[in-house]
Amino acid sequence: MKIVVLGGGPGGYVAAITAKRAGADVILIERDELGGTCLNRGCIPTKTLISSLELIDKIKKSKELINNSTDFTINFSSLIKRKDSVVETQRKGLSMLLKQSGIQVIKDNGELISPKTLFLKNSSQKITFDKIIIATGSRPANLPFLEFDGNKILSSDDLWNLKDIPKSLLIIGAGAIGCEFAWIFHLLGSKVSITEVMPRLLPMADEDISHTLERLFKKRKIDFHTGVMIDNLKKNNEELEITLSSGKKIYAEKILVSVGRSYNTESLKNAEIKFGKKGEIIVDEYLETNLDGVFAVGDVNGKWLLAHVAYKEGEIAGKNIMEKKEKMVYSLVPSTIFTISEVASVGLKEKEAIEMGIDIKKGLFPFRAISKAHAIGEIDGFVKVLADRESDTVIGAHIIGPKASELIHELALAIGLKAKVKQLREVIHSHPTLSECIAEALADIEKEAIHKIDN
Amino acid sequence: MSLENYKFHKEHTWVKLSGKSKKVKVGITDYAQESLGDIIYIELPEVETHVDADTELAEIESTKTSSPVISPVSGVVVQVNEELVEHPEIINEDPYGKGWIAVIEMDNADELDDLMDFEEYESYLEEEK
Repeated sequence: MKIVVLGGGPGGYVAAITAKRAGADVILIERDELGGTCLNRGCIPTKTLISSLELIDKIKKSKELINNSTDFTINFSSLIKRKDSVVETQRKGLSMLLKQSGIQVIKDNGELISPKTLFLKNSSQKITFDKIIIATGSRPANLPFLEFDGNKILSSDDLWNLKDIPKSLLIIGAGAIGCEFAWIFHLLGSKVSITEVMPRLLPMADEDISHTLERLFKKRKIDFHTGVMIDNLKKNNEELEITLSSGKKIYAEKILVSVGRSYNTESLKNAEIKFGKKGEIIVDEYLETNLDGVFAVGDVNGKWLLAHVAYKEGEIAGKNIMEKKEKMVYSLVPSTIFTISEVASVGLKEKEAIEMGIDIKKGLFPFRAISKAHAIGEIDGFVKVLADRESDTVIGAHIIGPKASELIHELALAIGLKAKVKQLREVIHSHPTLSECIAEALADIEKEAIHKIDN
Repeated sequence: MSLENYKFHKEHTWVKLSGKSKKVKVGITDYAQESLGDIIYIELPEVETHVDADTELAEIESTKTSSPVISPVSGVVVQVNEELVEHPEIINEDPYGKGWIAVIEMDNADELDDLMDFEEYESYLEEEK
């Protein structure tokens, strides 16, 4: 069987490798660099920058520990160089992985003209196949009255072309992307303001998470405005004057618009694929579109715009394309955000669980009552665990604080295995670790946390 | 320090009266600061916001816990102690004096009758223990 995968991001390359291992002949077509948004413009470059900047921030805050410490400034071009080098290493690794897997990679722009034919625009040739997996991804969504111009009004992609650190930056949209870049540019030294139309930062997170996050923004004096829209934009020479619906005026050198993502489907319009209301490709639970043998994975199917979901979908579609029918299940997707603090969630949010009529019991434990958090100097945040009172099983977990993105998986495992709170509490957590915060949050469900002080 | 002009709320906050003025200073008690431990941050209310008695006025973070500050009276916040933004530890050092949190213009001075005087508060603390 001859298979084509269109798009070499997380969804596409995993689908290609899986299909190849299942016995197909696989060609992967990518118009740009391998690794997609995640590796080239998203997850990896941002985490590389955050890691460098947080290290510098820690050193700045630890000056009293260092003899002869002098003032130092950030070397922006070196930061970007390190980011580029990390990305390049990963890209080479990926290219090698595909080569060793026996997958042919073609760099071209493929347009789907029938369920079994692609037209390659750059080389002006047709390529035919038995089945195809579409993994064309997504890109930053425009605001109609604030269209990206690559100079003053920027997308998260445009940010990578900045030669200098802007003195001031207004970020529109306080979702994951907005909140991550707010932290990055704050650490770079820009004066950052962030606005959100919904009433809180990270509107999709559990409310307690947003509450703590807003406090952290206040502590670091990052200006934020929630429940507001943009009423007006005026360009005064180099400076932009933005009026919010609250009447407040904000002045900024540049604007980052991070209000969502659009699906990359322009090259698929002539193939009678069914699209949803937001322009996403509609797929069934096997990730197949309305056309036989045409599958879609990753951002472009509009399910969850997360690299790790794309990986899983790639795996499932890569198998399903060879007739092994496996359903994609989304009930257990952890999500992580790397802003002023790490934020991680899995399962139901408190409000969701209550709305579903579940009789919940909850435990909440602050990192500031954990010795290890003091040892590493990061005491903000908490672990919150939600359980079903009747079955005693964990149904949701929300963490804000140090290493939240790593810690969440213990609770994801608990949900996945339908473990009972009682069983989980039998597990001894090593001391001194941040994981003790999970043990204490679980104990707090029964009001038995040892280190909790009730005021 | 004389605490004659002070009235106390069971959530360990106080009101300081000055004559018949409807504007009163509020803060947390010595017992509260002691149980919180080293205070490292306070989220102050915004000036001009209204707060109800028995609801959250501010939130305090210490090195070991975080806790809401419960308003002893209802009214409009007319002033906050800006000093605390940079130096929240003042609350630990002087909870009844320089560590005041806000000035509230009371809706109804009758609410003061629901509060305890210092002696009553002390015996309340004994009972709590």
